[in-house]
Amino acid sequence: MLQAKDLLEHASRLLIPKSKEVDWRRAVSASYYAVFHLLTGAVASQVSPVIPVGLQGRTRRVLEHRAMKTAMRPFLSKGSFHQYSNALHVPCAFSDDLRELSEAFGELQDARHLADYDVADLQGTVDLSWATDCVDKARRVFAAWDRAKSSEAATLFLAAMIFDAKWAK
Amino acid sequence: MVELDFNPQEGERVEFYPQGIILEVLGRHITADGQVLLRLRSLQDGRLFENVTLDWLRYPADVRVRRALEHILPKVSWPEEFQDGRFVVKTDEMYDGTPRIMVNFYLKPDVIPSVEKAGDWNAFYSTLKRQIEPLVDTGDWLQFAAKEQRSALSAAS
Repeated sequence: MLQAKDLLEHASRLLIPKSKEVDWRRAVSASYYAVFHLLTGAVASQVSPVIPVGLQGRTRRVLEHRAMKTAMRPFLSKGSFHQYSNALHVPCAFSDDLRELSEAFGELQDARHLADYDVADLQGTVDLSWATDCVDKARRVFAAWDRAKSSEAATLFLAAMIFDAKWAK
Repeated sequence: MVELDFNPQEGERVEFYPQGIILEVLGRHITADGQVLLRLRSLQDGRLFENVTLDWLRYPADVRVRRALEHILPKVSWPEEFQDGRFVVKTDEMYDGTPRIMVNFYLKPDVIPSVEKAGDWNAFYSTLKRQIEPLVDTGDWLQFAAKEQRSALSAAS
């Protein structure tokens, strides 16, 4: 079974000094998917039991990239987080780790889009520096999640990945 | 937190912040009682506005970020791989339409980026970001990057 950290290691291996544009693009894409699968796995573990086999896998497939980025928006600042948790009547302490994670997720998602679809790169964004930045961001997400995952805010965060759009009802 | 003064001059851009309209300062004068009045032109539709007070105006977000960085950066130590004093602030959109303020630094020509160096640079960005964040609207994405000389040149050409 593919593990999120395998994708991260794969991304790192692509970035050697003589690497080429295709390596940089694949490293960025793998970095994003490492983070995406880290989080979808955590969401599935929170909301689905292990038995019956396959349910967690189906749960992961429900998650949508753009909706996840949108759901992370309240976690980007103290002010928006407190407004959000108060409105939900789910009081939690703000987490700097979840803020870092949410920022990096949005930036990696945007970079992944460029890496996979914008072959012309008219802005001149694609280079080794850009790719190493993305791999480092993904590493930081793994570290931030490791620190944050047992917090109440992290439980709310994972629930938001699935239920965010429904909570307005 | 960085405190920025607001004293717009001719040629600068300002924002009418209740509606997010960006205007260019065409002229300014000071009344006998010391009030600053501006002559403005909308960059969206070219409309002219005369004798506008500063009450509902501020610098646009990218200008606030640039001015804040001009204030902060001389006081912090830069990563040794960055060209001294060189940075550019620009606005664009992420692929999903989220407005973004992008701050680019420039690497010295002989620097070979690595994930380890990127870690140091990201730590540097985090320090800056926490100081600047209060100046940015919640809807704006603030992002930092280090550009290589090669890609900076190709983007400019």
